[in-house]
Amino acid sequence: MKHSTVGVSIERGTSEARSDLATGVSIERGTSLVSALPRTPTLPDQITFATPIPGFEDERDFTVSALDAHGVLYALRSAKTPGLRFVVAAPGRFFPDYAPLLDASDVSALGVADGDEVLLLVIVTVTNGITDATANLLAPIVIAADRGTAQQLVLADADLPLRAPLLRQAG
Amino acid sequence: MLILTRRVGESIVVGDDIVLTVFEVRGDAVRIGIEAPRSVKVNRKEIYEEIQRSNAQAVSSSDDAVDALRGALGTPADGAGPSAAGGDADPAGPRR
Repeated sequence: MKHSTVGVSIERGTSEARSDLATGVSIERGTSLVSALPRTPTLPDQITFATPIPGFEDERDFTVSALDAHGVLYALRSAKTPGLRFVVAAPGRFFPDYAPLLDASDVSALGVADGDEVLLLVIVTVTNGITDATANLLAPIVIAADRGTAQQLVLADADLPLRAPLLRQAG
Repeated sequence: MLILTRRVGESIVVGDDIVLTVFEVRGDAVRIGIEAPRSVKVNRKEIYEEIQRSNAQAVSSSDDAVDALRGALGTPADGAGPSAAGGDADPAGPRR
């Protein structure tokens, strides 16, 4: 695909979501082919997890703030617990081939309707230094931009890595 | 914990719309079929626990390491670049 934006659409059933940058996904019913959205969906300033993040069952509300000017890194900060922060990334910069299968029913908890746009972000872990930075490709964060709802979706493809090295992929 | 004995081909119904069926028993491995609404998340427990651990590690990412990562992206660390604390969350931003 040649587009520089990040949107893709998904189909019901055996659908596949593909995107160069894989941050935007549109939920569509039926047999529509994968297609690019005309623009990059905008992240909301606040999100509420419709289903809890595994391990953080009491944390539902997070603020979203950009960490860079490129639209790559974002911080999700708990509205409830000061200092609790996830760093998330738009995967396309690091994993251009990352195009997980999504189905509308997978993200039904988000309350999305047909045609709604959802965003895909991966959780980044960077403990010691940037060389050990990893991203969780197995369970990305899916955000319904228009509704401010979010969900950490465990993808059915068990071969996806939970800790994919970030920068090795960036070159 | 409720413990039931089932034979191959027999099932267990959980609630109104979840059915677990024993398909095959071979040695210490059991193949189980699960019929459930797509909205019900079914995961191998060890994967779910791995994700819990991974999430717990993720929130412990240090600010220094995150700053270093931003630097590795070629992000301006200061000056004209937008503040890390800024609330501008528009991924479209300057990218074209």
